[in-house]
Amino acid sequence: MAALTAIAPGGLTAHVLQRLARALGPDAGARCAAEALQYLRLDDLQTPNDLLRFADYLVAQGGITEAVGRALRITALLRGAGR
Amino acid sequence: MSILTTDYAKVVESSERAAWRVNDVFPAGAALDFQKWFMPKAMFAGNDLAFLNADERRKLNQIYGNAYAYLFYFVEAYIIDMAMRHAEAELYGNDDNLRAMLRFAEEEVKHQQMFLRFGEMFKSSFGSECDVVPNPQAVAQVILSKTPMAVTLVTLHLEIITQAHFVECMRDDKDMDAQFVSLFRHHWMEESQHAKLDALELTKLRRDATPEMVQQAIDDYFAIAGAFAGLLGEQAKLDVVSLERALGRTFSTEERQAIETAQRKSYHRTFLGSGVTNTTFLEFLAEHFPGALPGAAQAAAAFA
Repeated sequence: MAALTAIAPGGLTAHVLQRLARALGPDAGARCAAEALQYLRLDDLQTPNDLLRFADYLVAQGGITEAVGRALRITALLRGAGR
Repeated sequence: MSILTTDYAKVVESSERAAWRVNDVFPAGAALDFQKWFMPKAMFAGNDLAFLNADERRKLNQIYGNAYAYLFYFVEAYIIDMAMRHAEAELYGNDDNLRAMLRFAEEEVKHQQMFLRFGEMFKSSFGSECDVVPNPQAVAQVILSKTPMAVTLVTLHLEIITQAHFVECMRDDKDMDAQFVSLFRHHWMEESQHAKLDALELTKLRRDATPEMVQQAIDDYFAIAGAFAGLLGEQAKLDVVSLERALGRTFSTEERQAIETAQRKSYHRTFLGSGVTNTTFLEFLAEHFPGALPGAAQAAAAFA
């Protein structure tokens, strides 16, 4: 599992880290982000489509993580993902 | 630019100060005065129809007023959905943004309830049935299938024109029915906050967009405006039938055509022309979507 410090925090990555930290707490949020990025084989979220895939991973986890995923999914769609 | 000299927290504060209840708009004993005009003469091309007498022109104006209110109910069907999407995107994000967007959605639902209440009041006292274009949900579906930036741009357009209509044409018009003016005063009080939120959301979306996404948004904006023009043309046709029903009179083919043309002109100028010529809207386009300006100039000529 990648540590938080291993994540290069670009704009979108910083954005999701903030959301996850708020919902789950800083440590669990960072862990969750790292797991998701590892699963998606990404170092950073650079495009709305990256964010959409990241969000879909969170949605599949259930619970509060799913709620964050749903919010991020809409953020991605509003920014043009999937078009 | 004034529409952007704000932030989400300030919009929430302003929204709390301006908030009203539907019952405030319709106090006990509230009624429509059918001896009065409903729409300002500046927004009504039917006043030039010489074959109608003054009472008949006033009837047509009231039919137009009923449809004008209904059309706002109609477009709010998609605006509620849009505002909810933007609110949900703020979950676990910025609380001021989340509150602002939730209030936006809640206020639009309230506006729909207000317009429905007006519609019932009109229907019960006008004296005959007035037809309106059906199925706002299907139109909402078409609009929401377009790019989010275009949808928000159309919403900004609509919310800016509601302010312009009230401030420039309705507020000081003594010939208009007071209840109808009150309806749009309450609408304007909250829509002025919504326009600021649209501008904030658009600025956010525009910041991260590629040139291709911006061009797509511009194309979609004009596609939605074109579809809306068609819908307004349908409403103009329905108004002819509603006027014949209200007057118990059948018009000649030429007269029907003249009424339809005048009504279509009123709707197009009111809902489309007044947006693409509005200084605030054009300034926003110039700053964030300069590629839309030639199309706006063409639309201004078409819907003048």
